[in-house]
Amino acid sequence: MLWEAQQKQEPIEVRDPGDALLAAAEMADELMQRLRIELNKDGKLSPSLLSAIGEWLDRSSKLNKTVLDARLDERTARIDERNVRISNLQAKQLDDVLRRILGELGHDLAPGGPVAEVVGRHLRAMGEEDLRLRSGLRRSDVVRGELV
Amino acid sequence: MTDLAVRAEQLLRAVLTDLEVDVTPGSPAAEVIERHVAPLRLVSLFEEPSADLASLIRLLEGGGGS
Repeated sequence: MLWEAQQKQEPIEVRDPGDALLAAAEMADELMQRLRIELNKDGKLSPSLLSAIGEWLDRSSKLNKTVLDARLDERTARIDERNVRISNLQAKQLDDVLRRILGELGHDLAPGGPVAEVVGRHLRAMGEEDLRLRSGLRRSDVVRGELV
Repeated sequence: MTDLAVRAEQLLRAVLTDLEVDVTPGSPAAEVIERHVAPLRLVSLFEEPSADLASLIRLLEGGGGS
């Protein structure tokens, strides 16, 4: 359909699918209201036709919701992926800095060595502190009734 | 979540103190820490601070990498 419109040089706007579906749902709602007005005024529309239009509107709304939910899931997944990437990158930066500083001060951070043992112990303590803080945040968020 | 530079500094001070290195302000070790940690403060300005400690432990246990 888009190709045909382009061949005829018709001005067809290429829109975001979610926006297009939302517009379609709004249009259908408007149509439904007009049909109701006509029916009340003239009594010419059959109940079966009205019911069929109602069903179509319901189906269109469900489709719209499905598309919007899928887009939201996709965005959430992208944010999660980015956070994991940043976390890993920062861990690498922290590792580099640790090695450079300890190396410059004459301490060997070889795996299994005494310095690595000390670093590992402090890192695990930091991890436990993080978990404790996160748990605390969740509790306060429940009290405030807000999401993080 | 704690700022990356703050976290690095806290960790290094704790580790070096355990290793009986003087990290009081003005000491050679404090100067080394400051010189290496300073660039991390810029990182924290642009990215969410969320260094993954589990990843860091894996890097340390694996002997680091490039």
